[in-house]
Amino acid sequence: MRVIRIVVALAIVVLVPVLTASAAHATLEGPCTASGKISATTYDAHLATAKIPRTGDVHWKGAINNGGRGQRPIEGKVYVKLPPPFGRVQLAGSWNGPSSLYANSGTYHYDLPEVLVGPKFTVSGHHAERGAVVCRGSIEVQLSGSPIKNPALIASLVITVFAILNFFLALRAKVV
Amino acid sequence: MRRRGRPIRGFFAGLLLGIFLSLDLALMGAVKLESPVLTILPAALAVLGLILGWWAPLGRPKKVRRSKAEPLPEPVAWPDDAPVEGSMTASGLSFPVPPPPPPVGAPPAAPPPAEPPSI
Repeated sequence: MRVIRIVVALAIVVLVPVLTASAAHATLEGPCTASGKISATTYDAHLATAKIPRTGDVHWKGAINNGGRGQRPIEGKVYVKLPPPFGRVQLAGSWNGPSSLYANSGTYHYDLPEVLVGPKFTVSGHHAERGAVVCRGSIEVQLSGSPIKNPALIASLVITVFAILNFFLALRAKVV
Repeated sequence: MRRRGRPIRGFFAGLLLGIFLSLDLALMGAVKLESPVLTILPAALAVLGLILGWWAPLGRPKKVRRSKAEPLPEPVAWPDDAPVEGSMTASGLSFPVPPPPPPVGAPPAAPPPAEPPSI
């Protein structure tokens, strides 16, 4: 029992700082500006987190203010980071090829499933010109709504209870 | 009777518990989706399950600790003059029977007085 108590104490000491740590605010590095407006709310680098509706239209715009002119090859993408070793998942926003634009805007309709209500995603993106990344940014995004109503969470909690029981049953000594 | 642990079952039980705990933490928004905790937790619980499954602390008979006190004396037979079952009075009290009083007789003769010493 003493060993179990030591293990539990170590787990608390290690996990509490990791679980409670969070990003201070959204980041945007480089000579770029980017923002998105959903309904009446504008989301940009000044916000720490973006709590957006599960479905809607986002009016986005972005610009690079590096004094450049003329056509040049550009590349960029928007993605969501996943825990290691899964890497990242690219979202629909990406651009690649020669361009003479130094600013752009548009409207994107999105409709996300109910199982995504609750988790905190870090949406990141970068913009590269002539093969070099000149701007990068990230923001924490969460879908508005109650996570308790997420059917995936309800199922996961039920299975977790059975997994805890199964774990303690596995700790029993068996008679040989 | 020997008792053994279940290390393989403990490993998979810990792994399963870790996966679903990570899923709960991610879906509740308690941990960000890119946090390495979500992959460390299943691995850590799998290892913990392996160790605890091999040890199997539950269900093992407890060791009897030997006390440092002296052993109890050997039991003795019930004495014959002690009260036996069913010998109690109606009041529930059982007093020992007093011995009979000595017979009443002439007091013993007084000794003759001693002669005073001559001067």
